[in-house]
Amino acid sequence: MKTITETTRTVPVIHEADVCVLGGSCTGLFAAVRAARLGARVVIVEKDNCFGGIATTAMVNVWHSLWDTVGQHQIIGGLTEEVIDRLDRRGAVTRWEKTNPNYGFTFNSEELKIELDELAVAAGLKIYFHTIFTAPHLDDQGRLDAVIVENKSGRGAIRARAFIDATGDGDLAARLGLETYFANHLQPATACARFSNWHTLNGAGYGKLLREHGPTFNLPQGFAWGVSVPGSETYLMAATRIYGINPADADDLTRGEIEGRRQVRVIQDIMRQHVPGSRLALEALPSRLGLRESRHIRAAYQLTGDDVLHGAQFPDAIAQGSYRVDIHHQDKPGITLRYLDGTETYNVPGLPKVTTRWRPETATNPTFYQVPYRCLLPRGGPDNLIVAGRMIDLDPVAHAAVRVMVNLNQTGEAAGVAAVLALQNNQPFRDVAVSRLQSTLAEGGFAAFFA
Amino acid sequence: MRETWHAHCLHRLTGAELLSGAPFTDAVGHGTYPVDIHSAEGTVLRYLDGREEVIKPGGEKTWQRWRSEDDPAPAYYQIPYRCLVPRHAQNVLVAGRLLDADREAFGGVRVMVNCNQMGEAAGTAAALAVRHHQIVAAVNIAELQSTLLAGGSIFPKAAT
Repeated sequence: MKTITETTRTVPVIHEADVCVLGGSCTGLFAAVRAARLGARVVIVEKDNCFGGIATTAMVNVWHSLWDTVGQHQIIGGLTEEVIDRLDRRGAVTRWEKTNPNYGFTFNSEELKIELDELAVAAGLKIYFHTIFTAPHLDDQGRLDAVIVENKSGRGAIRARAFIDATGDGDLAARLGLETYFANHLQPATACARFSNWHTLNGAGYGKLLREHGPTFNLPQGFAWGVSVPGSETYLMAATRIYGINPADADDLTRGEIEGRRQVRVIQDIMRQHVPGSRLALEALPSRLGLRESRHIRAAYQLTGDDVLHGAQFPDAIAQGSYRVDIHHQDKPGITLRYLDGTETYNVPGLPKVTTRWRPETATNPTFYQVPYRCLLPRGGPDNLIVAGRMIDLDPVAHAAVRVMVNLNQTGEAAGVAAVLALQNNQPFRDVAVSRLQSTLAEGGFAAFFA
Repeated sequence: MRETWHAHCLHRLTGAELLSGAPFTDAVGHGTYPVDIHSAEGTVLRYLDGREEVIKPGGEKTWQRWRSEDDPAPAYYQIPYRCLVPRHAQNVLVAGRLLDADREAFGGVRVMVNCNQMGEAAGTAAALAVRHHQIVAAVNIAELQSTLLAGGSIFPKAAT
């Protein structure tokens, strides 16, 4: 590969803070807000024009249940619950039954953007939208001292005492040269779309139509899910499948965006051609692909599929979940769902669901799983770096469950609280007292579940 | 965003040129959108035919004339290539809302159907400059215009 050498240059320190968060998805924003509410000066850097990440820019408008699998105990609280309540006051959320693994809450992603703005502003965050992280800067002692960012004002450094990598792809950790890995079979991506006049389909089964006519248009037999956007006449549909996309590769991402939009048009055309009287109209496309999996960071502990499926308890738990293992295949149509009660289903749009068991029946079943703090602590990283979001250390089966937003939001909140505790005690992230972390999380609205 | 930085180019399009439909030998785009200037006091739209529309922040509209009915009224204006060529540029062109235009001219040229043409002109000019190993300021205007024409651009009779 040809190279050029960039000129060494001096860049201005554009901001100094206690905590710097890279990435403004709900994971990153919740990290920032939790840290700010504990008195830290917090700066957050986001490449897009809004907060929310997958929930807003990718238009994925579903958060799963905050309850255990049987609806007995609330296992998730904090800012996820707070934001749901805020959306509820706007009439912008639908609450589904507590035990429904497919939906917990569906919401209006555009309303969410505004709620998240208000949350961030009220917390007193220094916000940089339209700003991209480019490089870490280490001081003479090898400590992570600043991050170099680039935006319309030019290039600049943001200096902080603690850093939270919530970039989704682990960009900061990767550029520090920390140990990272990709799953052998990254889950494929999906481009969502919003349509008007969905009612003119008159309940035609789109799964069957896509299955029958998709191959003519080179539409993968992937999966199809959709829901009405609360308080509107708009329908959100997620029925595309983009194979072979590495979200941490620029060329893949570009190809994926174009292929995702092409598939959206195919879906629209199939519905229009094969449903008499359909007046389906495309209203909105996402500003970025819905990416299920990307680079992972090797951490102090890798959560395994066995841990998740058997509901392993950890003394340093900082997040809990009940969303089932949900594997979107690269090598065949459909999705495989593996539940904590031992059942497993294989679902292909337009075909009957196939139910089996992944383990024999037992008298009792775990009803939730936990994510330990150690999954957020990069191995061999600077003392003042923690990661949060989909890049935490998870094997492919654990990732297939933990990857959803209600789970990852909690990793953000834990990282934000841990940052403040580390700074208060002048400690590396790895030395933060777990009991203090858990009690501080609980005071900030987490369900009291760590006992 | 309606307006941001402008580049200093070989020519700055003025409001007087725009509103009089001044012909340019190096025209690469044409437009009819009125000078449309938004401010806190409301919006003022100045049309090529001499009418002026004032829209107050409350939505109240009034019409007047900024030019006498007796004066000639152009049917369109032109955008010269030089507004896209930054001073001292060797191999850089600008296109879109950063073209060199004064405040009044920009109020008209800023809309997308106009800016789109600047993009097509800049792309074509870049290809010609590369092909002939020329700096952007030396691109042959006749060849640029004929290449744009061959690619579907329109050059009204009066403009050529």
